Amino acid sequence: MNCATGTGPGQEYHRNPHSSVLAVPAARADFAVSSSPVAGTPSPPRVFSEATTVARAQDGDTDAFEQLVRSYEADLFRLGFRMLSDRGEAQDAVQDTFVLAWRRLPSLLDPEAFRAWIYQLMTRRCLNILRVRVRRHTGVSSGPDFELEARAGRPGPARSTTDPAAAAQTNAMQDCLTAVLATLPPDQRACWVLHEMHELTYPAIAYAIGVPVSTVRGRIARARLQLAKGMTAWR
Amino acid sequence: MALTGTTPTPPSQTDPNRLGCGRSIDDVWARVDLPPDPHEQTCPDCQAARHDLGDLAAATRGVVAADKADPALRLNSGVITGILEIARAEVRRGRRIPMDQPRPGAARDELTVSEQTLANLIRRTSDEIDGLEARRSAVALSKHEPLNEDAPGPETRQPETLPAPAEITVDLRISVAPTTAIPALTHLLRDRLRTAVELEVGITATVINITVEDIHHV
Repeated sequence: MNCATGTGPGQEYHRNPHSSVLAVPAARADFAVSSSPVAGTPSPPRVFSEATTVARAQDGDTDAFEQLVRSYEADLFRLGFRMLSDRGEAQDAVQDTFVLAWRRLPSLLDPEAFRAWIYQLMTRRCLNILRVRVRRHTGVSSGPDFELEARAGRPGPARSTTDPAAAAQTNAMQDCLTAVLATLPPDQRACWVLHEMHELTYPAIAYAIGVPVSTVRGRIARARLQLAKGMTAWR
Repeated sequence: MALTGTTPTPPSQTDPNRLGCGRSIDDVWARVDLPPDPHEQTCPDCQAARHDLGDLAAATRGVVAADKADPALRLNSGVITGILEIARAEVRRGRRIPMDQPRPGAARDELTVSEQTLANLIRRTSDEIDGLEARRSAVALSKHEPLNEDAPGPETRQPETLPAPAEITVDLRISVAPTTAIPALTHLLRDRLRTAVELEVGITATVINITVEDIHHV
């Protein structure tokens, strides 16, 4: 409702009427945006909700957009790496996704849906890259034609077990999952990675990929079966 | 391979997601991190499936944790700078708002201010007030009663007089903290915005529409 100056007795307020299934719980609600330089001493940065940060970016606020970039770059990079198995290509895809997001932001109707929306842009970017890759290597192999980057020797939280045998077993299982994941059809892989590694809901994945929820459910089930079989074969 | 069932004949060739005992793999997967239920404690199909899926779940968690901790899976500052440079270069300046109120018969005014400049000013001013978050805004020249072009008299056409500051209408959408007293807040906000527009741009905000569209928790 509008409360025009001097036109109404009082103001009312209401909750945002948008109740999209795509709305993601405000898990990442904190955004620090530098405040006004008016005061003599720099005031502490304001912390905004994500919906506010998105709305401001839609209005051309580059500070707000920077907060969104910093907030999502790691998630999108991880998604790109698991989809493309190549850091350089993943980084390029993230960069292209953010530039596209900036250009299309004004048309995003529901700021609450930003997370599902940015995942949609990134997922479709990755799937397009994979389609081009397949066309370029038609008939050679259905699998990836690059060397999977093993993470052997790189420290990580899952690798700090004190028992060397158990640590080797853990590493081997993760490398096996990585290898089998890369052999899945891209659409299946996207569904699995978005659900199991990024905790997107089925409706959000359906929106990201542009297929019905039932298709997403089927693809995730098939991916899970393939991955479990692949890991059993390895063992 | 346990997931195809340990019973002599697979239960269904058409539904690979169902174990020999009739349970779906979805169900086993959903419970894989929980203690086995009474059926799972005795069912060989479920036990084998739980074992395989447990390995998959553990490996998935491990890969996610390792990816999150991997500094090579973060954009370096140069790439972020590049993205933001493109964004800044492409900032939509929006329409130009004349700084003098347009007058019939007068030459078109040269002095203008961009919508983007006003939007920045509106956000910056709003940010100085606690309890609200400024979201989207729009500005437009205020609509006036149409001048009676046929009315005689020199007082309606005086191009020589000094131009009056432009009069604009501001539409601002905000979110408020749950404890905010909205009437007092909007009164203060209108006051601050009117002053800031007057002092920093030299135009008059005659109408400031404020829409409270959300409540945020701080």
